[in-house]
Amino acid sequence: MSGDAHPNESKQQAGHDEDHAGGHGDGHGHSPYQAHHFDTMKQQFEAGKLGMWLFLATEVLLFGGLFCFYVVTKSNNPELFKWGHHFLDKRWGATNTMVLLFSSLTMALAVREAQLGRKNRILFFLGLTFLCGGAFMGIKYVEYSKKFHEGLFPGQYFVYGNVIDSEEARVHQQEEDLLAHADLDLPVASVVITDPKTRGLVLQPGLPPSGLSSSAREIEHGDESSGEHEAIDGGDTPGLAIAPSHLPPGPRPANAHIFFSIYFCLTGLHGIHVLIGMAVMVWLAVLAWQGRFGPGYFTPVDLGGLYWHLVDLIWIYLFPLLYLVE
Amino acid sequence: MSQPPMDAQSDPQGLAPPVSAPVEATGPSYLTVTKTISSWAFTLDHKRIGVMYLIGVLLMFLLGGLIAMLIRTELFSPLALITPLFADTVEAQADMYNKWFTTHGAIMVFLVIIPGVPAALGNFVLPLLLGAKDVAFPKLNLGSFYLWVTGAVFFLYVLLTGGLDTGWTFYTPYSAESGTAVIPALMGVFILGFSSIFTGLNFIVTIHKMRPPGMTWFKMPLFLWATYATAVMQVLATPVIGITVLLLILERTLGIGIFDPRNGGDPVLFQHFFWFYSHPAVYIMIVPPMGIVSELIAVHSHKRIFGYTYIAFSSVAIAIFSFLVWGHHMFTSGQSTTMNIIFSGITFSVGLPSAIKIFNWIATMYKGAISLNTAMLYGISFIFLFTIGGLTGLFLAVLTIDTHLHDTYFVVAHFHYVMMGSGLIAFIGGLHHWWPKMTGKMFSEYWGRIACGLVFVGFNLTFIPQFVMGSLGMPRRYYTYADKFEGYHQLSTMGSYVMAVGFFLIAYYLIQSLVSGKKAPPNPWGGNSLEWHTTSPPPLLNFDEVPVATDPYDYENLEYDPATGNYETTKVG
Amino acid sequence: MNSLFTMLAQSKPTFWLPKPVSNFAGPVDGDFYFVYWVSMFFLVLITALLVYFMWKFRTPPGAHAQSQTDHHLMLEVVWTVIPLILSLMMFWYGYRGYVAMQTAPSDGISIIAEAQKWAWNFSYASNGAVIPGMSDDFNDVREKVRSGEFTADEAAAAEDKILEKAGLHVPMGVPIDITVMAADVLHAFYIPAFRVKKDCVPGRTGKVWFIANEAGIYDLYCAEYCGQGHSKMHTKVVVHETVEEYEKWLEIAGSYDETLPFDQNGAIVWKRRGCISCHSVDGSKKVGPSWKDMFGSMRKFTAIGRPGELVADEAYIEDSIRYPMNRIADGYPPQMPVVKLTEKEILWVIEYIKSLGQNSGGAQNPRKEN
Ligand code: HEA
Ligand code: HEA
Ligand code: HEC
Ligand code: CUA
Ligand SMILES: [Cu+2]
Repeated sequence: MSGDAHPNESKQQAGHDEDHAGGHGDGHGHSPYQAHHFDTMKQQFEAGKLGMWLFLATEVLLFGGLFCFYVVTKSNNPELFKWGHHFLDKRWGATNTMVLLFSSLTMALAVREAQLGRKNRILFFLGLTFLCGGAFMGIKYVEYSKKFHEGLFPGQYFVYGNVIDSEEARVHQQEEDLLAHADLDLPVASVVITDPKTRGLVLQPGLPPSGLSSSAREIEHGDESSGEHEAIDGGDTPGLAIAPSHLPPGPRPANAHIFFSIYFCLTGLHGIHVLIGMAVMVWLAVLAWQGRFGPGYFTPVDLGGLYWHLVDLIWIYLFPLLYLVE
Repeated sequence: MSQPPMDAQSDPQGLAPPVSAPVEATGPSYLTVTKTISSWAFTLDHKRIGVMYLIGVLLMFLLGGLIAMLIRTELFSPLALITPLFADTVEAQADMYNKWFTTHGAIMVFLVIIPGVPAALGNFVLPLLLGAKDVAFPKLNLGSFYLWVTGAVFFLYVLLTGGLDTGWTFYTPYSAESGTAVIPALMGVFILGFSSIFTGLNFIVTIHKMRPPGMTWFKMPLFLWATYATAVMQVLATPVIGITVLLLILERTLGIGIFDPRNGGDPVLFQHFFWFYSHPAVYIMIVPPMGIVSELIAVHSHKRIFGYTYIAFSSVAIAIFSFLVWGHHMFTSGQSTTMNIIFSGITFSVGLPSAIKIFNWIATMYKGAISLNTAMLYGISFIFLFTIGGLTGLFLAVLTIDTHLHDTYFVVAHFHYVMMGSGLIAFIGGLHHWWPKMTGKMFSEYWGRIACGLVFVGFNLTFIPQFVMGSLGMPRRYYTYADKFEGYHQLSTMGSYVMAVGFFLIAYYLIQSLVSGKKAPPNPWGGNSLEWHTTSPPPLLNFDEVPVATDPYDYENLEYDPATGNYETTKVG
Repeated sequence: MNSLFTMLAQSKPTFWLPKPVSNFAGPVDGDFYFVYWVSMFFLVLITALLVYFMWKFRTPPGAHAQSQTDHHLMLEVVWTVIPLILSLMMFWYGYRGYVAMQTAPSDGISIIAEAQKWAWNFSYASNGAVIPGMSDDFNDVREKVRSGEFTADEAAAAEDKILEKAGLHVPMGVPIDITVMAADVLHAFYIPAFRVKKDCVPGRTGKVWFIANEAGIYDLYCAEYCGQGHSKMHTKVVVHETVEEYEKWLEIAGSYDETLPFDQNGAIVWKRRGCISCHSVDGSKKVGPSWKDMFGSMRKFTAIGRPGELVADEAYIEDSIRYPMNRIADGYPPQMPVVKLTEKEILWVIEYIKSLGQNSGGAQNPRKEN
C-alpha cells in the first residue's frame, strides 16, 4: 500500500509525465520519488501516512472480530479458559512478548536511521527486527508443534488423545474392545459416539426429554450401555507416546476444543501478520540497499514501522488474554 | 457552520469560475490516448478503472436480474412452473429455487449495489470533482478492481458448480451444513470486502489530501460528502464481514465451535457479526446514491442546492448511526428484550437525516428551472421510491410490527424499494447524468424517458403487491405458497416483466449511443462542478489547464448555447 | 391516539392485515395503522410536492431559476422536529406492545413447539403427548385441490381429518405459553393471525405467548429459511371454543392406539414425527435413504472420518435415530436431525422398517468397522 509512493511502480504513468512535465506550475524540480498525481512531496507523504493509518484501523477491526469471539465465549463459558490456559506455556509467551517489544525498538531505530539516510545502520536495524520476527515465529513453532503432538487441535480435530485423561482413554479403549468383538450382540452402534457430552447437541436445556422412559429400553436390549461409558472398564491406557505436558486441575469442560479454536485463530492470524511484516522488512532492506532513503524520502520505512508496531501491539493484548487469563 | 456563499455577486472567497472559452479538446481523450488491451488492463487511470468497473457491475446486474426473472416466473404460480426444466425431483426443484434467490441476492448485494456507485461512478467522477489528476493511490485502485474481478470469478464459479442455497445472509447452522458451494462463495465475499475497503481507503485519503486550493470541506460538491461518509463506513465495517466469513469457513472446515451449536457455538452470534457489517452495508448502498441525487436535483433544477450543510451533515450522521442499529434485523431471533428495545430506539434516529435530505431536495426544486431530462426523472423517481422504502423501514423498526412482518414479503418489498428502487435507480440516473462525460456521446432523451417510465411503473407493480401479501403473512424465501397469495404474485411477476423491458431498452439505447450518438459538449446539463469544466470525455490527466475550484452550485453564470447544446461560463464574478 | 388506531384496526381481515384473532393482534394492528397513516401523510405530501414542482417549474434548457435561495433555518427545524416527535411515538408504541408480548402470565397452558427439518412437533406439558404438524399431509391436500382431485369442501373435510391427530391445538381465551426449539437449523414459529413470531434456535429455547380470542383454524408457517423444505413446513393452529373441548381432543389425539400391530404404529410414527419428509418407503431416494429393504442390508457409512460398514439390525437403526450424526450413510448429507422418539416409537419404527422388506444379504457377513 505504501508502494504507491514509489516511482518504479508507476511505469505506466511515467510515459505521460513527459508530455505533462510543465503542468505543475510549482516551479521547482520534482523529487524523483514523487508520483505524477501529487503536487508536492509533502502531500504525497501525508497521503501515504493517512492511508496507512486507515489500513491499520481495518486491521484492528479484523482482529476485533476475533476478540469478540473471545469475549463472548469467555463470558458464556469462563471455565473453558480456566482449564485451557494451563496448556499454554507462560514462559514461552513472556519470551515472545519481550522479543516483540525489543523488535519494536529496533524498528523505531530503523526509521530514525532512514530519516538520517545512514544506509548501513538502516540495514542493521531492519535485520535485527527481521531476526526478532523470526525468533518469534520459531518460538511459536515450538509451541504449536507441542499442541499438535498432544492432539490439541482446533475444532473437530481436537482429539487430545495422547494426554492422560482417564475419561478419554476409557472411551478409546472401549471403542477398540468393542470393535474387536463386534459380532457380539452388544449394541455396537453406540461405540462410535465420540463423546456425547461434548460433541452432541444439547437440545432441551433444563427440560426432561419428552417421554423418554428407560424401562421400555430394557425390554428391548436388556442393557443400558448406549451412550454410557461407565459400563465397561477401559483398563489401562495403552500406547501413550508423549508424556502429558500439563494436567489441568479440574474436569475437562464441555466443548474444551473451543479454547484451542480461539487460541489458534488469534495467534494464527497474528502469526500471518508477523510473516507479512518480515516480508516487508526484506523489501525495505532491498530499497535501503539501493540507497533510496534519506531525509527527503523515507515513507516506506515509516509506514512499514507503523505496521510492525501494530503487530506488536496486538500481541501485547494476546499474551495476557490467552496465557495469563484466570 | 458555514454556508456556501449565497451571493454570487460579491465573491470574498474568490471562487468565481474563471472566464473560459468553450472547452475544446486539445489532445486525445482518456478513451483514445492509448489503444492496446493492456493499456486498459494495466491502466492506473481512475477513469478507465471506473469504466471497467461500470461494465463489470452492469454485467453482474444483468446476471442478477435474469435470475430475478427466473424467480418471478417460478412464483407466478404456486405449482412448480419452470424449476422442472432444471431438475426432475420435487426436492431438487425446491433446491433449485433456493439457489436462485440466494445467488440473486448475493450477486446483487456484493457485486452490484455495493461497488456500483462508489467504485464505478465514484471512481470516474471523484477526482474530477476534486480537480485532481487521480485518486491518491492509483495502483491500489487497480488492485481493488482486480479484487472485484476475482470475487466475481468466485461467484461465477459458485454458479457453475451448482450454486449456493444458504440465503444471502449465510445464517448458521444451515450454512455450516449446506451441501452447496458455501466456501467459494464466502471466499468471494471476503475478497470483495477487501476490494471495497481499499476503494474506501483510497477515497478518504483522496478527499482529505487532494482537494484543490480554495475547496474547503464545505465547498465540496455533496457527492463528495456522500462518498466520504460511505468510505468511512466501508473502512470501518467491512473488516468485520471479512473476519466473519473466515470464521464461518473455519467452522465449516474445522468445526471451531463459534457459530454452529453442534460444536458448541452460537448461531445468534453469527447474526450479530453478519449484521454488524451488513447493516452499515445497506447505507453503503444508499448514501452514495443520495449523493448522486443531490447533484442531479441541483444541476437539472439549475438551482443552488437547498440546505447544503444539512445534507452534508446528514450523510455523516447516517454513517455514524448506521453502526448502532444492526440488531433490528434480529428482533425475533432471541436476543434479549433490552437489546431489542435499544436497537429499535436507535433505528429511528436514521430516519431523521433521511427526512432532512428528502425535504431539502424538494425545496431545491422549488422555484428552480427544472429540465425534465432522463437523469432528472430518475432523480425524482428516487425521491418517491425512497420515501416509500424508507417509510416502510419505519414499520419494521417498530418492535410489535416487526414481530409480525419479519421475514415476510413486506421485508422483501422494503429492501427492494431502498436497494433497487432507490440505490439502483439513482445509479442509473447518475449513469445518464455522467454518460456524456464518460463516453463523449449523447443518448436518446426520447427513449430515455420512455424507459425510465417503464422501469418506474414496472417496479411499483412488482413490489407494491409484495407489501400487501407480506403484511398478510406471506413468508419470504418460499418456493411454493398458499393459494390465497397467487393473485398478488401474478401482479408482481407481470410488473417485473415490464421492468425488465425497461432495462433492456436502456441497455439498447445506451449501447446505440456509443455507435451513433451525437457528440457531447463539455457541459450538456449546465452543471458547475469541476467535471463540467473539462472536455467530454476528459483528457488522460483530466484537465488541460489546472482547474481552480468553483462554487459547484452556482448556476447563474452559465448560458445555454442551443447550437452546441452546451452551457458556457459567461461572466467574471 | 394509539387507541384510536387500535379501534380503526378492525376485527375483520383488512386489505393489509389478516384477520386478527389474538390478544396481540389489536395492539399490533393499531401500531401498524398508526405508522401507516403517518407514512401515508408524508408520502402524499411528498408526492404532491414533487409532481407539482415538476410540472410548475419545468422549463426548456437554458432557463434560469426564479430564485437561488438556499437555506431556511426554520424549515429545517420543522422538518427535523416533526419526524422526530413522530418517530418517538412510533418507538414508544412498539416498545409498550413488545414488553407486553415478552411477559407471559404464569398460569398459561404450556406447549413445546419443536421444529425440525421440515416438520413441527408439539409437546403438551399437561399429558406429555407429542403431536406432529403433519405438513406433508396438508401439502398433499393442497396438491389435490390444485390438480382438481378435491373440491373445496372435500379439502376442508380432509384437513379436518388430519387435524384430529395433528396440528397445534389451543383453547380460546386462555393464555398459551409456547416454548420454541429447533432440532437442527434455524426455523421460526409464525402465526400471522396471532401476529406472533419467534425464531427456533438450535441449542436455545424461545418463548411466545398469546391468548386466542376466536375459535377457528389458522395457518402456522416456518418463517426462517431452513433449506429445501422451508416453504412446505407449515401446519395449522386449531383454536377450540372451550378448554374442555381442547382437553378432550388432547386426550384422544395424544395417544397411540397401542392395540394396533407394531408396524402399523411405526407407519404412524413415520408420518407423525416427520421421518416422511426425508425417508421414502418405496425405494425412492429423498434427503435420506429409503427405508424399503433397508433392514438387514449392509450399510456403508463414515464414522468420525473413517469408513465402516454394518448390517442394519435393530441396534443399528436405533442408534441411527438416537445419534444420527455418528454414522453418516455414504452418499447422503449429514442432515438427519436428532428427533426425540420415545422408546416405544423407536420400537415401532423398527418393526415398520422390518415390514418394508427385509434383506438378508448382509446378515451372514461378519461386522467390520475400521
Ligand atoms: C439500501 C438499503 C437500505 C436502506 C436505505 C434501508 C433503510 C432503512 N431500513 Fe432497511 N433493510 C434493508 C436495506 C435497507 N434499509 C435490507 C437489505 C433489509 C433486509 C435484509 C434481509 O433480511 O435480507 C432491511 C431490513 C430492515 C429491517 C429488518 C426487518 C426484518 O427483517 O424484520 C428493519 C427494521 O428495523 C429496517 C429498517 C430500516 C429503516 C428504519 C431504514 C431507514 O434508514 C429509512 C429512513 C427513511 C425514511 C424514514 C423516509 C424519509 C423520511 C420521511 C419521508 C419523513 C417522515 C419520517 C418520519 C416520520 C420518521 N430494514
Ligand atoms: C440491489 C439489490 C437487488 C436488486 C436490484 C434486485 C432486483 C430484483 N429482485 Fe431481488 N433480492 C435482493 C436484492 C435485489 N434484488 C436480495 C438481497 C434478496 C434476498 C435474497 C435472500 O432472501 O437471500 C432478493 C430477493 C428477491 C425476491 C424474494 C425471493 C424470496 O424471498 O423467495 C424476489 C421475488 O420477487 C426478488 C425479485 C427481484 C426482481 C424482480 C428484481 C428486478 O428488479 C430485476 C430487474 C433487472 C433485470 C431484468 C436485469 C436487466 C439488466 C440489463 C438489461 C442490463 C443492465 C444494463 C443497463 C441498465 C445499461 N428478489
Ligand atoms: C431432514 C431430514 C431427515 C429426517 C426428518 C429424518 N431423517 Fe433419517 N436420515 C436422514 C439422512 C440425510 C440420513 C443419511 C445420513 C445419515 O446416516 O445420517 C438418514 C439416516 C437414517 C437412518 C440410517 C440409515 C442408514 O442407511 O444409515 C435411519 C434408521 C433413519 N434415518 C431414521 C429416521 C427416523 C426414524 C426419522 C424420524 C423420526 C428420521 N430418520 C428423520 C435424514 C432425515
Ligand atoms: Cu423451517 Cu423454514
Ligand atoms: Cu438494517
